[in-house]
Amino acid sequence: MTSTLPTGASSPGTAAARAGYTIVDTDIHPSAQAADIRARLSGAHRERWEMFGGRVPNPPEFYPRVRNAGFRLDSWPEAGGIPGSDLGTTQAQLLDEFGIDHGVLIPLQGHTFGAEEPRYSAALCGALNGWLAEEWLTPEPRLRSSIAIPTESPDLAAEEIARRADDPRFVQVLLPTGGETGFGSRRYWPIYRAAVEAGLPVAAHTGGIEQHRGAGWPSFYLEEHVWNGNVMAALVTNLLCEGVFEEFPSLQVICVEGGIVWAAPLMWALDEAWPRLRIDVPHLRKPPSEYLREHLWFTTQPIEEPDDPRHLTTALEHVGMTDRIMFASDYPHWDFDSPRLAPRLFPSDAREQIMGANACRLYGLPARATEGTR
Amino acid sequence: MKIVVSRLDEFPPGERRIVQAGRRSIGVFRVGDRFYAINNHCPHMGGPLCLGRTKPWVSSAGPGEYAMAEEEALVACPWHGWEYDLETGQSFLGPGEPRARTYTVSVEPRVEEGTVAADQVSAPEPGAKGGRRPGPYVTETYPVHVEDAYVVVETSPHPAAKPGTVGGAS
Ligand code: FES
Repeated sequence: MTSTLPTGASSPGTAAARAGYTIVDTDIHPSAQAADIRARLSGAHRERWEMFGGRVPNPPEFYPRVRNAGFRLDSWPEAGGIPGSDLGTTQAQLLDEFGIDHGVLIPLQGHTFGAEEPRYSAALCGALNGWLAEEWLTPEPRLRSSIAIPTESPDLAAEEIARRADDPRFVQVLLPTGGETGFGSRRYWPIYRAAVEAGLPVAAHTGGIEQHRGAGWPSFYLEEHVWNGNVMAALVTNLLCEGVFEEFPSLQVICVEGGIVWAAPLMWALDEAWPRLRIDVPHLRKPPSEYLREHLWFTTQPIEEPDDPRHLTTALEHVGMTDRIMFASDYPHWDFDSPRLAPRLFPSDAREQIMGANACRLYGLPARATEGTR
Repeated sequence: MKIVVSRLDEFPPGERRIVQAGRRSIGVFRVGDRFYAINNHCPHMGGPLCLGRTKPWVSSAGPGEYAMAEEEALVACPWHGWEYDLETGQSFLGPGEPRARTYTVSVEPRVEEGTVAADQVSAPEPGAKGGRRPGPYVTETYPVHVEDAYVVVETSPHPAAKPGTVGGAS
């Protein structure tokens, strides 16, 4: 009858009350332990891992310090290890608890692994992807994953994408929002070419070696925490203006954890100025908003939350892309959105699309079977 | 329904216990010689409230000056950090929004098994406290009795409440 802390239990009381629609969570964070990576490295890379680790600190070591190390306090696995390192905890607290049909893993370690020196970077990303395939995707068929890539070595990134392309459980290529230079730059184009050839979208998740910067290095977590939409908007504008969408007409880019409604005023501004500045960007052959509407997708956590929820509905109407917005919980991070309660934030006529149907369409996932056919 | 939580001597100050009452999960906290019981379900987004950190009340006379109450009587949700008064279930984030339902708490002195509680005392109404404006949420709290040497939570609807104290028992 009684128990002592920590119980390791997730939301108390009831088992998942299954919603009447398909639920796809498009932003779930797994974290490999040092030993998981070490076991998949060989020779000099293993020695380097043991002696130096990585050149970029992982959360919560970087500044500004994140709240509660970035995690839900109840997400530390009972058996030890960091949040997101244990499949069983993620199954219990997320997939089972909320009746999630499909989940997409986003291993944020790829953001820092991807910026190491080229060969080491490729080895770390390969180890991370191997760990995901063996320890998460094989035992848990509800999960899919992103491919972590050596971002700053695009030729090697293309090799890693091609290597995983035949495994249908890897459904997208992971990109940070901050790199050594703008991701529209031609030097990164081998990544987009490989993604298109593999038929995979690219998911840009906030963070990376630049973290959420954009106006210098912030002193405060609040500043960084609310800044991610601005960084995402800068990334999107850079991809557009450098001509990535013109070069790769079938490329799909998912803006993960960067908010959504900023896209409307960005499209207004671009479309307003473009006719007068066409000579500056002759490679853009149609209004900028058309490119963005054809190439972008968004995930919901952290969707903007005005005091009056009608204002969000209005803002989303301005964006006009509810067929390209996908639910995300951001588990196990502290700003987690509950799949049970977050849908109340979304416009009711788009709720089922956002909670699952849009993601099923993008990733080719099956919708939930109805009771009769189960 | 009455739930026996623990023997009193096995429930030292500063600890907490999570108990299950049907489909409901309740956290019982011992702060010094006082007991509090609060619903283990955060009204904000359903987080497991009672797995959060407890905190003392803080008051401030001006910038740079603050005083912390000696005992911890707030619990912060392990998800987004909304803080709830352990006594009343009142949260103090997001003032001005409608508030959720409240429960009351009562104290029973030492009683024989099977007897009914003695002096019931009115609970403090959830509301402003320490100059803070109440937020939209009030999570459920429950009466905690100390019967003989056992800590007991009462989950049936109750008209009046107050945190249980050790003083009522052996
Ligand atoms: S669920 Fe408790 S603060 Fe959000």
